Amino acid sequence: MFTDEYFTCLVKTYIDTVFRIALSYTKHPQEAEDITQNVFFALLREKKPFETEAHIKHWLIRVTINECKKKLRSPWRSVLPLEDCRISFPAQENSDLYDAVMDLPVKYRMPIYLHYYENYSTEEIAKLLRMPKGTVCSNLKRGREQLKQAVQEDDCNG
Amino acid sequence: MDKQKFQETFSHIHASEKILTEVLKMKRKTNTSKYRFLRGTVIAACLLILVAATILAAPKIYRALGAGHIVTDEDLWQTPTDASGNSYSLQRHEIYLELPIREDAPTSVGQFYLPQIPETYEQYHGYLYKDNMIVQYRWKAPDSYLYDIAFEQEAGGVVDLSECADVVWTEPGEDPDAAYVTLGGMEGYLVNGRPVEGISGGRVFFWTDGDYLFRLQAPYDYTDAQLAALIESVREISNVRPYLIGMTEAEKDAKLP
Repeated sequence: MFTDEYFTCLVKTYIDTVFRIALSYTKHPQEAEDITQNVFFALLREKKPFETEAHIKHWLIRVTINECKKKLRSPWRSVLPLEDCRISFPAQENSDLYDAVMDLPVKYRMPIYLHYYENYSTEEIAKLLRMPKGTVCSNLKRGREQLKQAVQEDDCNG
Repeated sequence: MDKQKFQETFSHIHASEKILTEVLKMKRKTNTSKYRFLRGTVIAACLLILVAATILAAPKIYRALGAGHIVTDEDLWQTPTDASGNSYSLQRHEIYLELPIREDAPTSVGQFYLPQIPETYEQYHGYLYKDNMIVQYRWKAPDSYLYDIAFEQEAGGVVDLSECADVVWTEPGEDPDAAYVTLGGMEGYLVNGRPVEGISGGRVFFWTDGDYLFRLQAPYDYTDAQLAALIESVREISNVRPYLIGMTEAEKDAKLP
């Protein structure tokens, strides 16, 4: 369905997005890489045509979330402590924020990531995560509260 | 919540070069998938043809290996009928035994001769076990006693008779009363047979002449002496030629081992 050039372009454009979502979900870089590979393989095999590039991005995010859920349910999944999955950041405050986000439960983490990083609206997030808009709003709110608390605690301890 | 801060944080997270390379490699690999599918289909088709040819050629191969008394469909040539006019078909690999009548057989045994056409079809059973020649004949004599004769021919190997679900069998050793005895000049195991389909078990005697395994079942009240006499009356079983119903003598001779 995709030419080599177009597929390459899609991969280079969206691989980071897919990887970040997978990492946000699984908190495990190696698993995130596996999921990334699976998602693009699924894209290769997808027979239905895409209307727009936004459609492709939406599809990729949706499939990534599904793959993440499948991975989390797998009995063969290995679990690494978060300390072993550290990503290095140039500034400490970035690192603190990342840790705080990763410490959130996944139901808060994903809406926070999709809203603040991918710039999706609550309505779009609701479609992606297949949940009511109201739930997305309340999860965003609670996620923000927890983050605020975590960041403030860091400030006090720092 | 500072969006800018958020975006700044997460923009540092990138997929590794390694995974990028792997993903880009995928496109090249999947281009050959249609050829792989074609190749797989051709291989599967060849295997199917091979299996079908083996199955069709199996009887010929089996004969060529010297399996002896195997009777195949092409050897069966008629459908006999019994005295009531009921017809029955011969099964593959069935062999009939024509046993000599012994004048001095105990009268309670009745005739131990299996007629060419059984008097009562429904009292005749033959069992086939795969390609081996485990054949059991059950014949109910007019005096209502049940006689079983079973024999097995090994076709190039030892057959595990414990796998013969259809054979009425009591393994020597399963029955604590089983004993290795000599009866009627033959050595074998004497056990108490188990009931089958409402028919009483009776006493069962197994023996082998090295080529055939025999099993004889007689009424429970038979003494060893009576059993021995019965066995003696069928001692010549190893000399019995398998016959096919309706064959001429010449045709029967041609079937001799």
